[in-house]
Amino acid sequence: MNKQSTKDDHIRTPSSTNPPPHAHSRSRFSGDSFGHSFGRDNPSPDKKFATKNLLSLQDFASEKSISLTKDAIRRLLKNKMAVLALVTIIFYFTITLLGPVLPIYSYRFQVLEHRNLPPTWNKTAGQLWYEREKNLTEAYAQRQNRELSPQEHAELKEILYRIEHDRISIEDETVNPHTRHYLLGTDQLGRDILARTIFGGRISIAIGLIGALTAVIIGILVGSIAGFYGGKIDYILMRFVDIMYGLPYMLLVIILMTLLGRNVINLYFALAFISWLTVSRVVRGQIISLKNAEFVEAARTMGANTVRIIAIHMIPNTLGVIIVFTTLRIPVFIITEAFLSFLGLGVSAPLASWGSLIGESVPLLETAPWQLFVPSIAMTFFLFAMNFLGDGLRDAFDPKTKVRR
Amino acid sequence: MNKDKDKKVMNEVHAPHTQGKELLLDVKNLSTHFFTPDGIVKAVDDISFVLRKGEVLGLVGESGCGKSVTVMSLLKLIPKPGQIVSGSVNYKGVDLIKCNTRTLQKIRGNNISMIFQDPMTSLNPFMRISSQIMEPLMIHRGMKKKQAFEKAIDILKMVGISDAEQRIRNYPHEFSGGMRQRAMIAMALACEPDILIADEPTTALDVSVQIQILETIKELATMLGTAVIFITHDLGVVANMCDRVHVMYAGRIVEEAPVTRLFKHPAHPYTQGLIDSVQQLFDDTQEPLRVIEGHPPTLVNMPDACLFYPRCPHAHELCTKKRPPRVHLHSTHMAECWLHATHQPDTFNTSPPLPQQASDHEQKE
Repeated sequence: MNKQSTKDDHIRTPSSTNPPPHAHSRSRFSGDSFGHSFGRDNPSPDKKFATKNLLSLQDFASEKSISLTKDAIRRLLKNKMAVLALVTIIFYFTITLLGPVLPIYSYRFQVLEHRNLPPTWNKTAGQLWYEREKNLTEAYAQRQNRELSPQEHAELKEILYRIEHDRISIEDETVNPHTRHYLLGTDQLGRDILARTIFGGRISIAIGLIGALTAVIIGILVGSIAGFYGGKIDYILMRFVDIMYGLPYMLLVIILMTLLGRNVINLYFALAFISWLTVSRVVRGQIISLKNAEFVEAARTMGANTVRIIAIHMIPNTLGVIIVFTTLRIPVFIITEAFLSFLGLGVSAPLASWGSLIGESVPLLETAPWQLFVPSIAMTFFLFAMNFLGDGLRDAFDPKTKVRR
Repeated sequence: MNKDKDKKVMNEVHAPHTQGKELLLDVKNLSTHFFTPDGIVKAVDDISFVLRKGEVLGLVGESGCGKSVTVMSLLKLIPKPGQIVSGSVNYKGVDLIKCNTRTLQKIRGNNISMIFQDPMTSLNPFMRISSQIMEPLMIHRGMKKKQAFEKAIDILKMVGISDAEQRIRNYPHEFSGGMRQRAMIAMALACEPDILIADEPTTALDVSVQIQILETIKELATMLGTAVIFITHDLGVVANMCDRVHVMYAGRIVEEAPVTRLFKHPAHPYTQGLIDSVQQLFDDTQEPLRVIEGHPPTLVNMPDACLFYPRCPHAHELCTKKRPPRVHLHSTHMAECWLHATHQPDTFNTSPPLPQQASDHEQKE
């Protein structure tokens, strides 16, 4: 109230002894000039100032010329957890993609002598093997309250000899297998767990990514058709989705897997076949809300046809939701795959996935816990990262988070 | 008055104009109804009008009286429960109502294009301004991307956006409201259409920008020889922009007249009310602003009566019983009201302020 009156006084008495503060007059001046600059021909004396002022404003604007997607990325990069997650995911992708060329042992080559070796940092496989055999023999002898028999001594000596002199050919190379270092131990068939985890990750991540992408593509197609056309088409498609929802998801996948047979491609089909349902519902809702948007109507008055309106005007507008959904969908896929593999319906040996690795490790949980922990930890970190990235993307694509910044 | 006679009157109203400039659009007895669960909503009810080359036609009325539905019917873009039940829209010998979608898609944006009310929502937020202006050019003119881009810059300059080469790469959210509406105009005029439909193009803008946008539309329409159908509820804008005005109420055209005549001698009580309710800037009388009491009817299951009578100061028994005839007070002036009917029953108990009979010298104004 008080403020208002003083301001009024200011305006009413321009010739008062106190000149108005500089900042005040300047802001009014620049405001006026901005208005003028829109007029076509304006012989105003402060035109020069006006254009200069406008130019600087436009420079500012064009410098900041960023799309909503870029804006979202920028906001994502400000989210520390999301960046950490992104780095983790990129790390996983590189490692798993580079799997075949990394200096790791074959994921499928079995050295039966090296069964269930624990993780080690500096000991060779031969040393660990000898240690284990020695401990076992000694423990066996101790239980019977006797010294080691000469036969047992001979056996241990033979092991030492074999560690020195064994040669096998792996991939056209003759090597001594007992000089190997198994950083993360071996499984029950003497295969390197590090290699198996990396190659298992390849399959798990691939199924997650491709499965989610396929689900999203089918979902976008079905959802946008249902949402855009509405009426009977919508009704039929959505009732089909409802029926599919009604069927137990896992049961359906298990039935499909048993019908189609166990292999990676079938697993992937079985998963993708079921999981587009939610995407189609999400996309349908988005398309319906966009259907009456004015820019869609404007596009129609411009003469754009239906395909163009859906593909160019509508789907890009739902992309934020779709990206977030896909990111959050990948971990679900990986978990489902792991679950199926755990049940023995997933990939079959010698191929591995995180799920099958965990499944195989369970019987030896007490004697060789590393076989469970290594793939579990690898999977957990990846899922964590995916979920954090998904959350970060959701926040980044939500315009309301702009305020929080 | 029977229907045939009504039609005859209408034809007489239009007759003198058809001899003038080239007739672009001839709308006859257009009716668009919405079949809702509550009943049939007659959003547009038996509307006829013509549009000639280069003229600016105003459609005036309150919200919800069918202005937008009328123009959307012209392009056959009525959303689902709605349906064009009768009538014809003759554009250059083609009946748009009978056209198939593919032919219409060739006409939309190319021959007839449209500007919308809210520039904030009528531009796609995910597309650059450039691709939105290029879209009609690429669809209708078959232009290549590069060619269309250059043309788009030219158009953007034409609608008065300085630094168009830079700004064209922006996204809509980087434009101000006025600039967005300019971009919208650029989109609409890209293919140099014969008819531009402007659906309240300045309603969402602030007053200082409004006048600039109006000037831009008027300038460009004159330059390109485009006829404009201008929808608004702002009578000031009508006085500024339009050559002829159609006043709509409850889905019907209740009065049509040249703009000067309409403001001088409004014949329909609704038009009179509209003009009365405009605030006078230099009005010294301390009277409160006059308003038209009540609301427009809901348009569901309307009776066969004058639809304005509940709000009409001159309402009479007859108004509640029978739909008023279309009376032509002059060759260019039509009003749908019992007050001016020739066989006016002498039971009116109020003496309505009849407009002065049309004289020829007024027409010359």
